Parts: sequence; structure tokens; C-alpha cells
Amino acid sequence: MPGPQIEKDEDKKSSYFSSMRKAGPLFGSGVQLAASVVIMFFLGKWADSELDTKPWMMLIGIFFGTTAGLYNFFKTVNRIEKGNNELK
Amino acid sequence: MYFNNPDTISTIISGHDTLHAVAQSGAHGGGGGNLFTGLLHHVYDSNELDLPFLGKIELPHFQPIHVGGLTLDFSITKHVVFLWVAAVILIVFAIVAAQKNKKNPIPKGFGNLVEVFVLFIRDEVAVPNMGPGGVKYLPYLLTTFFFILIMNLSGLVPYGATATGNISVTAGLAIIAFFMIQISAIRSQGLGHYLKHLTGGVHWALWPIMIPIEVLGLFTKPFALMVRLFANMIGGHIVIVSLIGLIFIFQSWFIAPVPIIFVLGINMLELFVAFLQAYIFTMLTSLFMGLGMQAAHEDGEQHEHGH
Repeated sequence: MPGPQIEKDEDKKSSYFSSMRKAGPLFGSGVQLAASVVIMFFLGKWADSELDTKPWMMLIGIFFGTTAGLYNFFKTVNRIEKGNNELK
Repeated sequence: MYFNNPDTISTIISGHDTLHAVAQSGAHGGGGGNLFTGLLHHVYDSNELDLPFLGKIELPHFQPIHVGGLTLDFSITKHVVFLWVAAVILIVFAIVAAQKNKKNPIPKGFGNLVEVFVLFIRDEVAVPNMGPGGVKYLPYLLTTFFFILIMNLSGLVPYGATATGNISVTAGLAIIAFFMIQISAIRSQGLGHYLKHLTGGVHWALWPIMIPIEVLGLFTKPFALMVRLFANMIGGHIVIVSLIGLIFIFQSWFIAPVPIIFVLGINMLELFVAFLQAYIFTMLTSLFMGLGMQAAHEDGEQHEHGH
């Protein structure tokens, strides 16, 4: 029975790629959380060396980066949650 | 023997570049070390180009240029050469495939192979993520996909190098992705709406906090793309070099089959990863572009519900 088998494979393939699409935002979320802390840390460190305010800009940078990272992380997760609820 | 060399052990313990230490110890032990150093140079960028049967070619080295406190080195390195090679291959095969498909109404052979990928990017990546409006960004997505794919695969060819295993190359790709994400969002939402979206929809008193957070969020997305592609490509190569390096560490013929089998396995994995990372980079770029384009759509719907 080649016919149904091919259809089944097609279904499997497209469900694989549609789950990849759904998981897509989560692939990045971890690195994005880390990236916002690291980017703000280095920006703060650079600002410290320019303004001679060691270590305050670095601390503000880390605090701000963590806040922004968590905010964006929860925004991503909430968006997926919202999408799942719409499907139900 | 490797472990009998006190210099090497102290180098490793004190945390210096382990791979270089291994290479040096190999050089003490015999001719194998030069081979290992040569292997390591296949992973990193260098000023020499290896060619089959012709030996090494020194690539032109330019003086660094100083622009406003920045030092820019425009020397042509191995990765630059392979970036250009990938670009030339991409142009040639795209033109050949297009010409072939223009002649035959039913694509076959090489034209068919390329069409499979093109249709895949259109039907599985662009349209589901961005809607029918995404078709007009298809040229960018296809170029990114094939360019990254060719660069990834060129590292698996003998004498080749992976240009995407250089963070500057992936940074360049990520900067282009960043601009495409912003431009597609601005074009579908309008500039005013785009700026309004940066405030996160909160009270104006919170704008000084909210706007930097949202702006930072815009930059972290391409940053994640950059790091992912770079780390995946360089990681596989370092694993292969380390496994082959085991032969030089043990300095024995008998151990050789084991690393060779593992290297073969990792090579197969790398072949898969080359396709997967090109797909993921393209997919995530189109997903982020789609989020900006959907934002206009969702708000429009809310607006309609409100009335």
C-alpha cells in the first residue's frame, strides 16, 4: 500500500516542521536572556572606563540587562502560551 | 611519550591553550606534531591557503586602517577567500538552475534539486511564518539559506574552510537579518505604529524604562542568531580535531581506528548540522520578521473588535 504510506510520511514531515516553527522562539530565548545581560554588562563596563565611575555603570548595566532579559523571556513564553490557548 | 614531557603537563595545568600544547608535544615526539598543527589550522582563520598538490599560498596582507579609534584589518584571509568562493558558487548555480527551469516546464535533474529547496523555503518557512505577504521577502531568505548552506558545506570538503565558523561572518549575516527584521516591521506597520510598539503599550510614565528594554530585545534576537550559527559550526570542527588529536596524544597506530570511526560519525552529524543550521537561521529570521508583521495584524483586529 504505497499511497497511504506516502501520505503518512507527508503528514509526519509537515508536523515536524510546524513543531519546529512553534519551538523556534524557544530556541533563541535562552541565548537572548544571556545575551541581554552580557551586552549590558559590557556596555556598563565601557561606560565605566569612559566616565570613570567604576563600578556603578557596570552594576546598573547588569541589573538592567537582567530585567530586560527576563521581561523579553516572559514575553516570548507568554506569546507561545497565548497561541496554544487559541488552538484549544 | 606525551605524558612524560613535564613542559607540556605544566602548560596544560596552568591553563594555556591545550591544543597547541598537544601539538608541540607531538612535535617533540616525532613528525606527527606538524600534521596536528596543520589540522588545527584548518579550524581557525589563517593567512595561508591550502591547495591540493600545490602546497600553501600566502594570502595578501594589508596594513590595518585606523578609522575613528577603530583598527580595521582588511587582509584577505582563508575565510574571506571561502566567503567569496561560496558567493561565486551561489551565483553560478542559481543562474544555471534558473536557466534550466526556464527551458523545461517540468524541472528535472539539477534544476529540480534546487526547486525542492526553493519550494521548501517558500511553503514551510516564509508563508507559514509571515503569511502571504512574506513572499516578497523570499529573495532575501533564499539567498541567506543557500549562502549559509554553501559556506557550511565548504568546510566539509577536503582543503576547504568554514567561513561561518568565524564570528565576524555570522555577525555580518546577523546585522543584515537585524535590518531586514526592522525594515519588514516598519513597512507593514508604518513608522508611527512601529515606534508605538516599542513602548510596550504601557503608561507614558514608564516609557523611560520600557523603551530601552524593548530596544535591547531587538538587538538580542540577531545576537542569538549570530552565536548559534558560529558555535555550531566551530564546535563540530573542534570535536573532529580533538578526536584526531587523540591519535597524536597516544602516539600509537593501534588507537587510530577508534577516533577514525568517531570522526566519521561526527562528520555525518556535521553534514546534517550544516543543513539544519542554515534552515534554523532562515526560519528564525523569517519568524522574527513575521512577528513584526503580525503585530500590525493583531492590533488591527483588536481595533475592529473595539468598535
